[in-house]
Amino acid sequence: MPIEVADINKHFGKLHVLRDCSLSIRDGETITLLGASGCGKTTLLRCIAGFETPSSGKVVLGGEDVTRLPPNQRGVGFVFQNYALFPHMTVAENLAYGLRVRRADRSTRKAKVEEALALVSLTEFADRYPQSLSGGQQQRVAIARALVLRPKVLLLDEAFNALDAKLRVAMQIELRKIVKQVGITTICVTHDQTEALTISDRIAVMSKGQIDQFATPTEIYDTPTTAYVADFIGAANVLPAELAAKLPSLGARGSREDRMIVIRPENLTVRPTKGSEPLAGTIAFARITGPSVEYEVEAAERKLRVLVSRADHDMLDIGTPVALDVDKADACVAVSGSVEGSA
Amino acid sequence: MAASLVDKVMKGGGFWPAAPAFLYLVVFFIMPMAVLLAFGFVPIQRGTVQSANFTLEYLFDVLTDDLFWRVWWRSFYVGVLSTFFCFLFAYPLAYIHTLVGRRLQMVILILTVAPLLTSALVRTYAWLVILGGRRGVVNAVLMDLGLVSRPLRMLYSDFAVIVGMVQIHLPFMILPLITVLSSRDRKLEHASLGLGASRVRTFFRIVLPMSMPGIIAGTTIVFALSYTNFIIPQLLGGGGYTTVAVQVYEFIVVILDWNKGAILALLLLVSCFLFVLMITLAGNRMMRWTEAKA
Repeated sequence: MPIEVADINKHFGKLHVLRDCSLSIRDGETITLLGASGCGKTTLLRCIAGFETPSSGKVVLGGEDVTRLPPNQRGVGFVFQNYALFPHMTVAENLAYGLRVRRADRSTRKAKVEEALALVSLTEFADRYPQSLSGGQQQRVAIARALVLRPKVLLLDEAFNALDAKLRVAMQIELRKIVKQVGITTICVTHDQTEALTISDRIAVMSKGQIDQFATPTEIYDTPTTAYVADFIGAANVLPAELAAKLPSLGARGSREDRMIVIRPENLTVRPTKGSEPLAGTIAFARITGPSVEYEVEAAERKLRVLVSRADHDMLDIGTPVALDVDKADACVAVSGSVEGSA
Repeated sequence: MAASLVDKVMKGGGFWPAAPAFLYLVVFFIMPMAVLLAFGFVPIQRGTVQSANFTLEYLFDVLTDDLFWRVWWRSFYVGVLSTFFCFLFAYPLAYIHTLVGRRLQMVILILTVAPLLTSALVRTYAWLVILGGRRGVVNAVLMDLGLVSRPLRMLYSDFAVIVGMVQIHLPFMILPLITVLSSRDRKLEHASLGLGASRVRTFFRIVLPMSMPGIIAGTTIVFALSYTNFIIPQLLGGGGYTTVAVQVYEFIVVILDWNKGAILALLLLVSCFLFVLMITLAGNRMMRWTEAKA
């Protein structure tokens, strides 16, 4: 079911938490609201779920304006950060809870619960209490509890937070498969960029209550529209335009004064130099990351990150004077805004 | 030898640090109680044991006496009704406590605990003034408003006794309920609403069952206190109002029949234990989930 979020604003007292947030999500799409803590992503999700009412704006699910509807009338499945499984009910009872509310008869309940448990491969845990399951199993119960009601939309709030790193990736892939199998429109909230890249068709990067950019993972990485987005997804060197113009291969591209230039570390190059170069610096730190080497170069009172392949490059010592340049001028993007404490 | 014993108590592990308290309880609580209960099984006259012959005569006498069962029934329903009404008043208050702001929470907590600072005896007397005769607070107000023409007879009845019990024992129900309700996970209620349940259903299916540990604690305490209370039925029930506890007092202090007094005390104690055990067992059945390993 397609979702339309139109110009949502939310105030908590004097705090303006959401500013004109708009999203239009296609049927069956999986999107992620990505941002640092306090950027409003969870509030936006709760507005879509109905746990919060926006101060202004609309939430439209499949053509129906649900802005004023309570959560239980929206046909939305919600997976909470710590799963919120009912500790006094078994796994099967947890799954059956929503069906009971809908007055499904016993045999329907049984069939649907079994089907949902099979979907998340937890059939043999039906009669256990949630506390006795592992984190990953609990999460699958939470997802099954939402899916058993055949919601039109699935919402997940930081659903992978409580899992350890290895299990997290496995569960993200698992979720992606389940969601595609059921074909349900899904919105996730996370502050973890790799999670967003793994599970999403499109990512909405949020900062300070606004949606900075809403695009596919590739677009977000290759053509960020703001310095914040560039910095948040992957590492980025964000330089003022007049400084970037000193890079020989980049030249005067996008040198309008009010703009910033984003250069990915893998797009910067270094070579040892003796003479005076337009943009020179010294190697401050070097570390090997498997196939490539990462330098921290001090230049123009900044620290720049450079990532070069070791295959065609002799490693440089700390303190070596270097000249900086870019590989592909096309891959450098002009953005608006600035980044505090730029990497 | 003596020094090493002191050492063990002061520094030793295991049972030793508890030894002084244990000794105190044995000497001043368990032994007197055992002696009193033993009085139910040997003939006693005028405060002296006549012979060491063990007899079940007094127990048999009491259990075959219709009067005893009538008196016991009153103790029982006073206990049950007081517990029930305590729960009925305490639960909403404890629930509201978890919904309001910090300042109001403080007010509720202070109002709950404040009565405990005065003696229960004083509060029982206060109820005499409130419920009592023509000039009692309630009757005076009702008559001034013209709602009744003659003063209502409220004192010296089940009503007065239960009103007193409920007010005096209410804090013991409220406090455990506040503890369990304020530590609950609100996300579970959001989850329930999100799964389509109404607020009412969420309350009965999620909030109420999960507060069972507090309900059991409060119910046990209030029932034990009400079932065995002596002062409140004595003062608010009036002269003809007897419960088992009141009868124990009358047999031992007034009639000086220590045999029957001891038997009644024993029956009260044992039955109270049994009821508490029943409440706990019933509660545990409803709380099997708390045993699941984390």
